[in-house]
Amino acid sequence: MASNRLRQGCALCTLLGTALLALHHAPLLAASAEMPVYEVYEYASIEDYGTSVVIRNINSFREVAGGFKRGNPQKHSQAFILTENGFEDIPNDPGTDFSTSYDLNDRNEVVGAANTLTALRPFRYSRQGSPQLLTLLPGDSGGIAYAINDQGEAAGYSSGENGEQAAWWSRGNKVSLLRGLPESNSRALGINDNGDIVGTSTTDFDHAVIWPNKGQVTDLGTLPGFTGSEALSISNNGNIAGSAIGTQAAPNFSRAVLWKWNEQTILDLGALEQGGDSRAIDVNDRGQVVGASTSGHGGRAFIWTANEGMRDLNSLVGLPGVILTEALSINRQGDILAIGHEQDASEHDAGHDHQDHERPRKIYVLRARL
Amino acid sequence: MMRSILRLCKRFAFQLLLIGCIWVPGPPLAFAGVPSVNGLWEKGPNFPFFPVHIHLLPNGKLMIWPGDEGISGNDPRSWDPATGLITQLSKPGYDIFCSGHLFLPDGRLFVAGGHIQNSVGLNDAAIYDPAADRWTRQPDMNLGRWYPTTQLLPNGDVVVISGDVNTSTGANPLPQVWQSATGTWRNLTNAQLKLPLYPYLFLAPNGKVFNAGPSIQTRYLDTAGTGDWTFVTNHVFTSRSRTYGSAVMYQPGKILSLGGGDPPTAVAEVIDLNVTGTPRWRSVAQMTHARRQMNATVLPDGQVLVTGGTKGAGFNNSSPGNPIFAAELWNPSTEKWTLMEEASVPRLYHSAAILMPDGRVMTTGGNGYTQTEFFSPPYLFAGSRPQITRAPSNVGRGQRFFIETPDAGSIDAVSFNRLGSVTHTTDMNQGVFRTTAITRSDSGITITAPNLTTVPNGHYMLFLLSKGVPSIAKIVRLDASATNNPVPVLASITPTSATAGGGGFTLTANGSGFNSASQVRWNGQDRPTTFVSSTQLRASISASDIANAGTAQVTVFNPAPGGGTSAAQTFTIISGDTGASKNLAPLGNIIARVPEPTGGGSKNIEIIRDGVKPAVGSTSSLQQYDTYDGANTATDDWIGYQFSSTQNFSRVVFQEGRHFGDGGWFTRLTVQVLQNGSWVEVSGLSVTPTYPNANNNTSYETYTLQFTPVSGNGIRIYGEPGGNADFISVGEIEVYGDEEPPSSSNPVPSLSTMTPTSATAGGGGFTLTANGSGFNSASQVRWNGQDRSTTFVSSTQLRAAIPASDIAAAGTAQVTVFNPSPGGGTSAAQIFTITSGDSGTPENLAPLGNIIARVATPTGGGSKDIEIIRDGVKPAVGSTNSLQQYDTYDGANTATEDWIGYQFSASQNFSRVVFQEGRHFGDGGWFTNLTVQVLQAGAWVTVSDLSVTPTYPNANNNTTYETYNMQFAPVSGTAIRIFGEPGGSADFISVSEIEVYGE
Repeated sequence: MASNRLRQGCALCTLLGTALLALHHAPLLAASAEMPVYEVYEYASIEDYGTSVVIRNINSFREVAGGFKRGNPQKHSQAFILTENGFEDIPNDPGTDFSTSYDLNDRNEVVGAANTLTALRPFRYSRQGSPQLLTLLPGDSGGIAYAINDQGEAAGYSSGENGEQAAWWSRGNKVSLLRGLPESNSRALGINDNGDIVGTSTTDFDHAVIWPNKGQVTDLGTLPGFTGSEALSISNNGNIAGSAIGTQAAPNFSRAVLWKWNEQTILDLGALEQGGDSRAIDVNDRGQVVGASTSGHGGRAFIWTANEGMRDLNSLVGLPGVILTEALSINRQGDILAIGHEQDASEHDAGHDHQDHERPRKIYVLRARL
Repeated sequence: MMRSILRLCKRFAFQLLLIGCIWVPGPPLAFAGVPSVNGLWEKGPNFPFFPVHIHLLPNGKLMIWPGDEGISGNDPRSWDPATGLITQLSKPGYDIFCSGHLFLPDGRLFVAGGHIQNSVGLNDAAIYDPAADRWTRQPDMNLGRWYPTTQLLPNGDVVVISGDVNTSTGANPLPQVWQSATGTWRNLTNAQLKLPLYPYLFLAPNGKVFNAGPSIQTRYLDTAGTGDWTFVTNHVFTSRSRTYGSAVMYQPGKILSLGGGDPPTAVAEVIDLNVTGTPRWRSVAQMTHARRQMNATVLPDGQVLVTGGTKGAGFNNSSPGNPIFAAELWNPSTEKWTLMEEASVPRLYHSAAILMPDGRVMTTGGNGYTQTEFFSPPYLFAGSRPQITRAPSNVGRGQRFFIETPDAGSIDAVSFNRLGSVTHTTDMNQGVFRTTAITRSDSGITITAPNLTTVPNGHYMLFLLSKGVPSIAKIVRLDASATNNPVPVLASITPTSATAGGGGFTLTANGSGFNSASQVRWNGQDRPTTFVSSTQLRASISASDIANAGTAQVTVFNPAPGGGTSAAQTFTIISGDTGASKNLAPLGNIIARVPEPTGGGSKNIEIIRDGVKPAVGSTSSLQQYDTYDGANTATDDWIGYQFSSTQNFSRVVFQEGRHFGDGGWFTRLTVQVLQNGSWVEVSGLSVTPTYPNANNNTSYETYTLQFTPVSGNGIRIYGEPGGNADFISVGEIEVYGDEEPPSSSNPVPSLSTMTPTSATAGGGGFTLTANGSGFNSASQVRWNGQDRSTTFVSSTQLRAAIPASDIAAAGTAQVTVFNPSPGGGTSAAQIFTITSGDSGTPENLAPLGNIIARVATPTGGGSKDIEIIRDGVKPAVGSTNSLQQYDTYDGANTATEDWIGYQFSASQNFSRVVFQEGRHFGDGGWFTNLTVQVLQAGAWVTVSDLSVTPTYPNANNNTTYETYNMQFAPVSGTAIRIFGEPGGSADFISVSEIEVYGE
């Protein structure tokens, strides 16, 4: 099936961030050693903003995994691979009302989850083949595959009467239990090419955990003053992005952190100016971390590097009339997958808790140019 | 512009027909504009923000909170329909915009999830207590939820489903059950499924949760254990999912799904989950308009009102011509739609609609619209509305209960509509029940409360319906924990005998365990019964019941749940041949001062001898004859019988009729007999009970007028009429002759209970309360046969002062009541136990002291006798009896403290107070904080280590007569009191009973 074209022709709406800055905000922003300048591509607009949306990962070819309501009006979510050329639907059972992809590697392999009539099941899909439901742990009825590495190993969880249990799948669809902390429910959320898996193990609260090379679970801990944590992504060199989680309001609600597994350290990545809460969502092998933070201007996408600290992506892109609210993924080249929306002319830009619901969200890919 | 023209046409429909506006295209019925056909829209209050979440609280106020367009949801407020006031409520401390919510069975609002930013949800949960205006945080959910749906389960637990976690995760696939018993979450890990945001959930008859959309696929969720989904069936409408449509349970187990989708559809369909086998969706008539972002509301008459929405494609198409202003009404009998009047405000995304207790539907919001509107359905223009005079605030599941209404004869249905809790086109607190199984009496109706799985415990609007016209609702709590009906105890009846062939009469039953469902039975057959109090009933006994001499067994029956039949009391029907008289009334002609009255009573004077005697308190006007003939200044009034021959008279039984605002009673009365053309007053007249000679606000009371036998060819009740319009009222007059003079003898008293029943040897003197019957002012309480200083309270209660010397030593005492001659006698004895001082048995010190209170002369509705706080009578929780409690209402004020307790002549040891609160009124009757204080050396000192069990709510929890045990470190003093800050707008407290112990 031919892939869908972008709603607004890609060539026309592909914007060179620096050029726009030049138009509106001279002088040009220069690339630093760590902070590139970006070409901004609007991949798609999410018009049905009252439905659930998944936009999760970007691979080295700047292809995006996700799912939301589009096309078929009988489904409330359709799994896809989104490229600069448009949507490529992942085929699935026509009877299902929901599917989404969560990750894709550089080898045309995708993982995600889809509803059967009675359960949510993890699946794997290869562009060379057809979707395959992943095997569950014995006795289980459902689960999700959240991540896949270039070896084709997938990570996620299997769920049933024994609770949610982290699991990983071989390319041959053999499922293996990742035993979590005692008396916990666990979910594997990220996997690197070495087979190191990170996720959460939940007792009274969430614990960020790692299963090094799919081995014994280790609690990654959290920041002082916080009770819990979650680990979402691990780079090939052992950097782990996630959040420290508190129980109440900012500044102890959520804080972006970076664990350096090889150094056994945890780093508070802070928050944007006048913000208190932040979440680190992804990290690449360059040590670049992306996520979202509150700020004096509302929720904003950020990039963090060791030298530059946390920066509002909007300040690096300078795309007039557009606000980037979340940076969801960063690939090994430093390209960033972000969510944003067009700024209404009447929208005040300070102190609001809410963004207007009635504004289509847009999916942007920021191509890094060092 | 076109719409403006249409509305103009509608307003002037008649004129426009004449000038040709009928050519303007548009939906034809929209122009009718007849409220009785198409309803009526009116503007409501203009709120300070457009509410996105609205809830009808058990106190009748509307709770609202905002969101979107830069406004945080952490700002709940209430709107009081009675006053129009908007009040800020306490804040939850986080943004509850985009949460899911419902009412728990106890009336608290459960809220799950919330807003971090668009599509990013909070994992918080909290409970809001409207009575205390307080939020209580619950444990966090597994992940965030933005746009989740909550559904109450039969056991009071709550299942939460769906809601977005964040953009990289999407919707939360794990259903979770909040367990009410522990306040913890149970994960349904065997039921992982991705559902759309704000899915439509319903409690199904099989106890499972039915997911009715918006997906095409519909499913059951079994919430037991780790959960399990079962596929049920697809919608009939399969071309697209019904996103931002709506679904309502319009009858138990029956769901209407309608509208929604992109582009929106007008298609509607129903499913009946009660069927055996697999339920299937079935198409019904389409709406006139396709709609999305609309609201559907179940009305008390069972119809479904649809308001607002847009017919345009896209998420929220508000461009001109797309919003739907006309409401539509769906009739579940015909399964067809009727177009209603047009609103003036578009109601799209973030709008809501909610049924109000007055039967109207309030519509609110839509982004940017702060102006509210009310829709009055056609039923509000279809005739006069029935009224609910009184209804219980709590009813048990399946319990028979009584609703007092002056319109009992016309009530043909009763409806329960659960209080709404609405957001994003979804009411998550649905529940509806309707019954036509109604038992009617003069003063009200009795029905059986719902006991269906689809009708969970909690608060409902109770509507009475007369030909489809609803009353204003009373908010009633359906409560699984409501106490089962007790087995009633029938201690005595009055009268205990009657003459065979006599007229009907009112029987008074005294005992305990009575409630509004209690029935007096005559030889096992129900008789029309009026509930007076938990210790008294009245029943109408017809003339046919005593037509023949013999005996009848009188019992009291309480229906299930619980319940049972009391032991019988024997009623004696004396033979008419033994000298008892027969009723002469049918032999004469009725005579009256006013033969052609012009008031509200029956115009047929024969009604005064038709044998029908309405129950005391009946408000029926047509079962009585009154002499109203316009406002006048008649100085005398009379009514009676004239005979063709001389008769012997000795007794008249006079049942009065209604007391109206301007008359219907005598200010004095006597009996006159016609002798040789002149009216002569009888001699030796005694009236039982004493006639009040005034308006005592009690209708249909019966009086026996006994006098020295006398002859004549006419007899009448004669006196001075009362009220501004000077008239009297008569339910029934019976005349007897040939009767032995009435005995003026005292009855033999009956002593059924006493309080206290024990005391500790060596303790102080106290007041003993004796309960029974046949007491009068000459009655004496006797302690081991010796008279004790006795106070006559009523014919059923005495109080006696028992000195300390009577309980100096352990043992027992025989307590009796003695009535002197003539007649009289001694009751059977009750045993009073004097326990050894060494036994450790706690002694209630209350009888030993003098009662003290901030307000000694209250002016409210409670008992004016402060002794009631130690009379030993403890009404059941939830009782609405005002007179079994003392409240310190002394007018609206701003008292900052209030107190009540006991003072003693000597120092006492205290360690515990048992406090039974009285009634909660609309404006007070509770503490907002309380403690216990002891008087030491003239100063009040707060006790230490006070613990109150159960926890005192420090607020109006809308529950009366709850008992609290207040334990504290032992302390001595000469007085003790409960002290604190009074609650409510009138700042007062209420007390049913206070016991003080020093163990």
